[in-house]
Parts: sequence; C-alpha cells; structure tokens
Amino acid sequence: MDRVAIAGYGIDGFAGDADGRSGVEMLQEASLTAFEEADISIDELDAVSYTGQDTYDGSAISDGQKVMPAGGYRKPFMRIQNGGGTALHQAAATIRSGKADVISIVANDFVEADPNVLSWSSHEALYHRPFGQNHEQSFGLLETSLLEERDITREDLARTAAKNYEAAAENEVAHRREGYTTKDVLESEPIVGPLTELMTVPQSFGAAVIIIVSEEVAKEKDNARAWLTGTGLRTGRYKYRDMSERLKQPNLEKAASAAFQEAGVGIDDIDAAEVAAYSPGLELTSYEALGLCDRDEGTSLVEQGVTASDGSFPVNLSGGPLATSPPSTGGIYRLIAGTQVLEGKLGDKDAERVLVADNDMHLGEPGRTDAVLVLEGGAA
Amino acid sequence: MAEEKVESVTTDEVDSEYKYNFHWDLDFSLNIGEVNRKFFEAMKDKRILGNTCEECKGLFVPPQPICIECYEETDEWVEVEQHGVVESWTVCFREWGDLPEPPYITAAIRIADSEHTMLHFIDDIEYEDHNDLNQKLHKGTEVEPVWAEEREGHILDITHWRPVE
Repeated sequence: MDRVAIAGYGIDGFAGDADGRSGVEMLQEASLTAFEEADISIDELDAVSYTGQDTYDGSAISDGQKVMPAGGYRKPFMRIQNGGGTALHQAAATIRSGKADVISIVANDFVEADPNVLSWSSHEALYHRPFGQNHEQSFGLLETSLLEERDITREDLARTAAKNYEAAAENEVAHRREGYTTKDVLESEPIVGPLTELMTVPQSFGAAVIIIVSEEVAKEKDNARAWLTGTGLRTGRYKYRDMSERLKQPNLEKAASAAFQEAGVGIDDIDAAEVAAYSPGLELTSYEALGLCDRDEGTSLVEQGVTASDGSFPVNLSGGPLATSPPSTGGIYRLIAGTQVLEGKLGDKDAERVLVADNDMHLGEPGRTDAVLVLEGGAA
Repeated sequence: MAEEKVESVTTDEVDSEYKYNFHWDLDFSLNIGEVNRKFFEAMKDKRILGNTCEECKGLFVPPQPICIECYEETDEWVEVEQHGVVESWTVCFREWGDLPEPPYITAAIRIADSEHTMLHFIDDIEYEDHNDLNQKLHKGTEVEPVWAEEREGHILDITHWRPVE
C-alpha cells in the first residue's frame, strides 16, 4: 500500500484564552506555517479536512468562515467531528484512493463558553441530561469504578497526572506548564468522584494544521517529516454498561490492533506514544489496551518512570490532554506532537516509530470513536 | 519611500477586551419515539418497563429500539422488578443549574438484569464527609426507586434511588 507522509504542520497556541485573536486569524497563522514547512503552494492543495465540533465552534456557518484561512476555496472542504485522528485516517484513505495528493487537516478552538454546559448539551437528552451528565461526570463514574475494582489509588492517579505535567513543563506550546507535582494534583479542588481539578483537562485555545501528501509528492519534494504507516478506527457502544469492560477500553485495543496490522508492527516496535487520555485512570488502562503492559501493571510503569519523559517508553511527551486540551484541535496537535518526537523536536527520545491514540471523548465517555495511527521517521 | 519596512498591524496588538459576547436561548423539541414514550407512560403508573432482544434474549432498561449486538428489533416488553444494583457512582462537587446542592451522587444503576445501566441520583445516605461514602456505597449496592408523588412521564418521576435496607 502506498505510504502517506506528514509534510508540514503549524501550531498557534495553546493557552486558556485566544489572546484576543479570532479563530480565522489563528487558523490562518497555523496554515501559512504549515504550507511553508511543507513546501506546498495553495495551487497544489487538493482538499481540506476540518475537524471542528458543533458543540465547540457554534455552527456549520463557521465552516464557511474557515475555508478562507485554510485555503479551501474551490476545493473539497470536508468536516469531521470525531477529531484529528479520524480526520487523518480518512484523509489518508482519500490520498490512497487516488482522489488527492495533498490534503490539509485543520482545526481551531476560539469560542469561549462553559465547557461543562457544552459537554452536557451534547449528552443524551432523555436519560443523561436530567442528571447534569457531562464529560467530567462520565470520567468520574469510570474512575470511581477503577479505584474500587483495581489495586489503584488516588495517589496513583495524581502521580500519573504529575508525570504529564512534568513533560508539559518542557513543551513550549503546552497550556499548563507549571510542572504540577503529585501533591499539587491531590490538593487541587475536588471536582467529581476521585478527580480533582488537575486530574481533569483544561479547555485550551489555539489552532493546528497538518499537511499530508502522497508518497509520490513526498519523494518529489523530499518533504516527509513522518510517514503514516498504519491506521485503525473503531466506534464503541453508547450508554453506560459494564464498567469493568469499559475500563479495559476494548475499542482502543481494536483500533490499535488494526493500526499495528496495517503497519506490520507490534507495540514492541513502538518507541513512544501520544495518548488522548482525558483522566489519569484512562491513561493507566490505555497502557493495557495498547499492549504496553498486563492488567493492573500500569501504575508500575508510572512509578518506575517507564512512561515518563526520560523513560524507555515515554507517553505524552507533549504533556497530553491534561496539560493541553483544545476540544477540536487536540487530535491534530497530538499528531503534530508525535511527528515532533520523531523529528527530535519534542523530548529527548531517539524514536523511529511513534503511536498516536486519539478519540472524541472530549465531550465524555459514553460513546467513543478511537483512531490509532502509527508514524515512522521521515526522509523519503 | 521609507527605507524601513512598516510592519502591518498584527493580531498581537488587538486589545483582548474586544470580544463579541452573545447568548443563545433557543427552544428545542425532540421526538422521543415510540419506545421511549411507552417507557415514560408506564412510569406515570410507577411501573418500570424494559424490552428484550428476541435473538440473544438481552434485556434493556431503559429500553432501546434495537439490540446493538444482534442488530435485531427489540419488540418484546416486560415489566421489571423495582430493584437495581449500583454499577458505578460518583460524587459531584460542582454546582449545576437546578440540580441538587453539591455534593450530590449520580450513579449508573443496573435495573433487573439489564444489559446496560440507567443514570440516576442516589440519596438518603447519611454521611458527614464525602469520603464516608466510600464505606457506604459500592459496586453491587442494592437500591430501590423513590417515586415522586406527582408524575408526568419523565425520568425524574423517580426522584432518586436509595439503598435497600
């Protein structure tokens, strides 16, 4: 199968507000950087994939506004609400089908509103909303189960969060860069169940763009920063069911299995990962779903520093969603972070292959689509 | 012509106080469908209904129109025992609209032997500190519904669930 390359990217962010800039301005800045880095002109762009979510950016009218800064005028401009991982999966399929050679995947977060209300309004209307169910409460249900069913403590959750904050302190585009410690995390405001404020994600603002190209274009321009060698996409069941099963994240496991199969590799061939874990317990059980460890061994990986920035398998050198969580842009940013790890621009890991696990759980857990992508070092 | 390049106004110079504030207050209306209507009609009479999949015999409370595993329609209805077990629960500390004053408890409750759970409040638990709840509520705790005196065909016709004594 023909390979697809990430040829360029641009970031404008991230922080707790948009610093007075509009979504159009942020997206334009990120897009211009991405085009320049990829050595791609606007005439060479075949299509744009926009990963805005209705809940966070208002309405489809904003699609039209974003056509201009994304360079999508007179080109196919597609909208995907499941996030950057799904968008890359689909865009890569478009290139492999021969429908395009160059696609830009774009997103931005600029609308300021109460994230709990936004999340609540997207939950199921008859059986969930009457109880104020939102993303935090959905993670609270899971984390309560995790602590009751597994040999995991609140200190383990805090330690996992602190591991991410330690990495974020070294990432100049991260939102939370204060390097919060385990003690800081435990002593921050209680939010829901065992989760404190620093165990939940911030709402970050900014924009991110990646430009992917066909193998033919990548070789011609010698602009491959990373090769996309495997992708997997799975959608899980809605509604809360057996929590023990949900904690295993079988959807993530299946998506990872598909990506590994396509790339012809296994977890032992991966050097680092960026994982969209919206609460610390989900990061711990994602280690199991990805095959990084057996059941209940996730806490040991954190305690022993295996998944820390200087560990043998760093997870979230960017700091992950706990440090930086723009709702619409997060997936694209995770892909950029994965690319930067391969380029040696993020962290010190000499990585040849990085896994990116993205999902659409920014709004909550009851329904989810997981996208897993395997990136390999560039150079045509 | 000036030799020095005059820089354009950049977005960094925009006063961050310039914001366009707006508020949406729209009325929405959803058709709840036949399956949900039947469930809520029964609640008016203090009855809890579920439906089952003919293929796998799975029970669904609340009901759903199709079995997600078998992709078969769930045509058979049953009235279930008013008894549930806690699958998971969480204490909410944020103030939230017209919901109970925090901390309050929401739980995923498995009613009868349903394949999935129903979210609801759990109350009537005596505690002083929320940490006490760790000793009083567990996965598997048996609960029963407390019905509202006036019911209108809504999930809150059950005001909350409480542990079975």
